[in-house]
Amino acid sequence: MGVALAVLRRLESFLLAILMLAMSFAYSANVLVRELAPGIASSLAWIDEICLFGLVWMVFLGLGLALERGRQIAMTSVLLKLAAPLRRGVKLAIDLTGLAFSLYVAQVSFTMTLLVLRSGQVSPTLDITMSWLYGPMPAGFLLLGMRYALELAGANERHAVQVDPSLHV
Amino acid sequence: MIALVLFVLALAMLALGFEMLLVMGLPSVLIKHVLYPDMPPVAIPQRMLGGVEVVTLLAIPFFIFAADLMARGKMAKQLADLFSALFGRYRGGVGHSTVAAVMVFGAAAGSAPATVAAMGRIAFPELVRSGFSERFSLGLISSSAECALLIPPSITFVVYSWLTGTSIAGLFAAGLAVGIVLGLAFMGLVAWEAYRRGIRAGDSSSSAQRWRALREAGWALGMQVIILAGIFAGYFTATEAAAVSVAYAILVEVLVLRSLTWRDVFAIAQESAVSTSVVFVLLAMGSLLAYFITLGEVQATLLQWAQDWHVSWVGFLMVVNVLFFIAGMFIDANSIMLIFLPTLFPLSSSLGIDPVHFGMVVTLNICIGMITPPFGLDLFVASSSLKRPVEDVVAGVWPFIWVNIAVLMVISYIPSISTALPRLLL
Repeated sequence: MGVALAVLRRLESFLLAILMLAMSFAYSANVLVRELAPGIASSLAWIDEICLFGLVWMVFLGLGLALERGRQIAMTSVLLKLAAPLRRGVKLAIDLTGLAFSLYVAQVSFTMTLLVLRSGQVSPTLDITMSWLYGPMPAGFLLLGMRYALELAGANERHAVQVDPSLHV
Repeated sequence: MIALVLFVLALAMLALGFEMLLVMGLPSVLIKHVLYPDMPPVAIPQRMLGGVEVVTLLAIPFFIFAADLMARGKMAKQLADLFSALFGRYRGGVGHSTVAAVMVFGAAAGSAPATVAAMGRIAFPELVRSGFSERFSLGLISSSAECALLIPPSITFVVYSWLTGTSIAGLFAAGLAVGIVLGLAFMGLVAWEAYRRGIRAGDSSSSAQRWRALREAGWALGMQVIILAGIFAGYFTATEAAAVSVAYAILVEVLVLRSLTWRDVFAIAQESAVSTSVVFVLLAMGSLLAYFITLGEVQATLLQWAQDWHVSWVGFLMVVNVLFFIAGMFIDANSIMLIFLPTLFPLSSSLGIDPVHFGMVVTLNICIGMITPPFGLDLFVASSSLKRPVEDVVAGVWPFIWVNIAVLMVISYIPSISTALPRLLL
């Protein structure tokens, strides 16, 4: 279990880093090409599209890691001041709500992904099925739901994580 | 009635520490099931994706990544050195150079808390050494970081532009003017404090030293030049400028300054991606919430009220100021805009308020909220990154809040400060 989780974490962070680097490279290279060789630039319209796909993947794949590391935005100043038993109760409510909500969104977005896949709708320039755009949602919300479940099981305590303040957005 | 129950539910969730994505997402899902049971549930992922899959918003991950690279590398420190070489010889010079360095760095970072953390560590010891009290120094650092939201490129403006259809370049130009006004107001406060406490001038630097500092900071300043000149001259869109600044930051920090290794860049990319996810999941939830607010015809109701009560733009901006100021104490900048703008922006347009001007008022309010006790985020970031009690930060920040409110009044009721520069540049 522990090993599987460690592998999953590495996979998530590896994919996130690769997406960020690839998008930055593709987009800035696109600008460079347009400035230096405007002739071939028009054929690079697909970069906008591929970067948007990358962004959507990055956003949803990052959900679980962000929760685990205490990075999801929440106003916890009141929560952290509550007496211990009350705080445990509220945290239980938060985690259960989070789990239910994540599973619900994962389920409806999975339905949506299948719907788009069957409709045969394709993207304007890459000509690939639009379900690639919806696919990361069920995956991401499953990862998020799993993290809420880990909090419920006591395997992680996100409110105790010391977040590096320079990472705040 | 149902709307009221859901509103109270959302407030309770917010206060109890539910994640913001749940605070916005759960009520939206409940509205769908209770008020619109016939709507197919797949509308939910559709609306959420609509808040993420937007070309303009692609600028945000790139700006986050570029700022993280600068903060971890050497460029932040070089900016601080430059301004201390430039202003050090004046009375209270360290204070002025802190404001200037934080403004320039914060501009590139686009995030106030990140600026507090990155520049605070560099500036705080210098401020205290030069004779400013610890409290004043803490207040100065937390408040001048607000300029990060105003001086372009600013993530807040990118989100505002997407929500309201206002030109990004126009917002950036206006933000530059308003940010400089705010920075000068803070410098005025620094001058007064330095005079009152009899603080001496800092180390005076020779012109050779100043020249060297300028040359070293050239790389960091170059980033600003590329972004601003590129956007205002019409070379780049904001997204392109953001992507180019990532490439620039990597090249300079890794190849020229050798302050980061490729391994560092990979680790930073991964952290920046998580930050991006944190911001965008709110945009996704906000887009869902805004959809139901629109369906509920909240805008039309408010518009009717405004007409019935003969609300003028002066009165409206007063209400907006109070509302955003209070919201800013509790919620982060993006959530505030996502929750309130879909309703308030049409109203502001119908009262004839320039969209760029309205953007400045909204953003300045969010800035003030971030340093206002008891919950202003920057207070906690300053406290945790500089290892000082929150009470000290709060005590130090009050004079800055008053200056801020004065600037807010000026910006609210003299629209030309916001609208002049965009007209001139664009």
